[in-house]
Amino acid sequence: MESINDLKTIELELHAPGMSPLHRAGLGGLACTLHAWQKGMYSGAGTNWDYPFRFEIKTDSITLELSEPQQAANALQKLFEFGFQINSDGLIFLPGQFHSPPDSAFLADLQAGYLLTFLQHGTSRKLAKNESQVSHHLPDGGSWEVPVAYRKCSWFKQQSGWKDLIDQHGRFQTQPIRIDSSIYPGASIRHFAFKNQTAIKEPLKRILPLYFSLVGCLAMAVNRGVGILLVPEVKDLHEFIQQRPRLNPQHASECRVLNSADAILQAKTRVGAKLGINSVTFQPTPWALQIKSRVKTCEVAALDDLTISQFQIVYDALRPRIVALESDLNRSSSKQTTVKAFQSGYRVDSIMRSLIAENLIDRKPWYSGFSSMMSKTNPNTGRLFRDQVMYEAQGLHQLISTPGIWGRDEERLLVGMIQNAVTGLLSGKRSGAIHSARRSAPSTCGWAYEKIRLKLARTQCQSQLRSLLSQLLNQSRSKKTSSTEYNQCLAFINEDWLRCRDLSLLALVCFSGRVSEEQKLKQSA
Amino acid sequence: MIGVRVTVPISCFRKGYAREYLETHLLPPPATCYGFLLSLVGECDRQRHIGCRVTAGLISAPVKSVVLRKVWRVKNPRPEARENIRPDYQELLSNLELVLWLDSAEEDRSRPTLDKRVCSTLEYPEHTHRFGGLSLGESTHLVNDVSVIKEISKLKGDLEATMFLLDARGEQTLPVWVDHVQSTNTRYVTGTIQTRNLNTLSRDEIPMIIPP
Repeated sequence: MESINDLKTIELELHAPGMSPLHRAGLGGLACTLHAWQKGMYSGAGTNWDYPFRFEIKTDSITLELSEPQQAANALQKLFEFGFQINSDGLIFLPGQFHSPPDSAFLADLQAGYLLTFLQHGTSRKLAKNESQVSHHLPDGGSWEVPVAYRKCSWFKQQSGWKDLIDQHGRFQTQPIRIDSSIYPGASIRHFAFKNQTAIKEPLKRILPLYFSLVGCLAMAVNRGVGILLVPEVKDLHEFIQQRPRLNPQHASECRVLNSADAILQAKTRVGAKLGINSVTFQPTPWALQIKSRVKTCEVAALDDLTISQFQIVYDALRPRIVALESDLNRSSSKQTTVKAFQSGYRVDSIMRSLIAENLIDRKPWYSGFSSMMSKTNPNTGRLFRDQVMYEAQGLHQLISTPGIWGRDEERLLVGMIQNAVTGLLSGKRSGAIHSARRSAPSTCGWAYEKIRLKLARTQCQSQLRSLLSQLLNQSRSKKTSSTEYNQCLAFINEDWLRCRDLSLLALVCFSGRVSEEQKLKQSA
Repeated sequence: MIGVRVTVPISCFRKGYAREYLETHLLPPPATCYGFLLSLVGECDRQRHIGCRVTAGLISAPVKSVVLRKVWRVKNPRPEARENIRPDYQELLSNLELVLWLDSAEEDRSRPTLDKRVCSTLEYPEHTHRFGGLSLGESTHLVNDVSVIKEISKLKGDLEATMFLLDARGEQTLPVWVDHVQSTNTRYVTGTIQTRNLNTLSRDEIPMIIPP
């Protein structure tokens, strides 16, 4: 690392030794902040933010130049005051992240992400005790809004970070400076009994980018306890200045993600498949419930366009939904005088998309491991996955009907055959039940369906699956299946029976929408 | 330049900043390779072979997995205190097969160089005084076997390896000298991880071991 030239000029290089992906993302964040500052000055909007130093942004470095070494304190203070702001609603606003200031609801969603990653410790921010609320107004819904609760912020650590970077004479600090998890999440003191000796210390050239990693990275919330930090791979600072605003979620439904793979793929659909992104998942662990520890990392380099287009199909079929609160609807219908101008809703997201996103990232077939969804319990909710998946039957049906989603013909063929077979089988049961005893009619289809599901989920080997599917296909009344297709599917089962089991269950779940609808109708009748 | 072929059943090359969820590099950094070679020849003075160049190349494709393990953190200076132990996740690499490339041309030639000592240790192990198990990464990550490839030109065919090589505009930064207590004196180099034919390696691409 080069020393700071006569304490007046500092050159921050993207590829300098010791620059980790987070440092590089931070340097990108600094470039975005300086660019936003410059843009504000030229447009006349930022007259309060005149900058007391010269800077130059090259593709792989940033140079900051002071007129006098003693100007360092003033320069850094102004840079940090511009870069780390709090708006009138008490929300963290980082101008480097946006082309123009966004709605407060977006900032509230992003703030939830910061508080689960960089700013999770009480010492790194000051929050109000009571919750406030802002709302997303949906342009397409017209009279819809999605409320977002947050606690007003009055200070966060990055705002006063400039004080650590200068010495007592107001010049750039030449001694290594200690970092903590508010600027480098996860980089904690190794041995608390020996804090001074085992803290991570960095020189100024690496610590200044780290402060701006809050700007360069994207922190998102999965729920109230789990956060995802996306660290983009910065290769060209000029390019990143254009990319960074596009990295942000564009709609209310995109502000929450399901897991790291989903977050990465959503970000890539917005920015482009070529941008490499690393992610870190933060959540409480059984041995440290009071903090959100790093529990998982994921590195995804450039992806091919096919993967992104597949994810786009998946996202369209299983996109997050805005659901109305029942009480609000009732109130608005019963009391005409107190009808609200906007109906409140909340965001509901897909369970299946998280599995599919992980498969796409791991370059596995998108439906791999679907059978586990039919037998396991969701650890976050304590409910069975299969009960939750049932709500997505329509989306899954749309998904399997899209030709671009299938990698091989055999997959589409097998799913189609199983669906035809189940349709035939259940229609036979239904008509038989209606003829024999009218009372048993509502449950017959459901039982038959459950029987098939259990048999498929319990299949343990290739021969078991082969005999089960052969039996199912033979019993059904489907006339659409040709012997060539039948043999093709049997060959596919022999080739990879686990994939076939996943596909069979998937076909069954897509069919289940019709069964449950029918049951509901009959029960209500 | 010599190549040292090493196989390790399980290993972890922990990233410097990873103090919770212990992440691993894909390859051992040059500093780790250097420490391994010093241990192999029974050298306790880490300054002894400064100036040598060393890097690692992966021949196999290791499998990454995550385990839950016991981690020591001194919160209480009393070593028996219970709060000094906690669990944490650690990434492990399984079935590593590596070639460590070592070049001693720029070492102090007045004394036996590291490449010569490595060759003599593996040829006449009875003449070397060393102690402890030989491990790559953590002390519990013992190596399976070590052998020398003396001349690159004698390598069979197009043997390719995934290696860390110097590159001023690279995206990887790995340590060539580690400050184990504080982090301030750790020295890094910039490079890229690339798949290369082992016959086409040049000395200038291999990181040099130099303290800060």
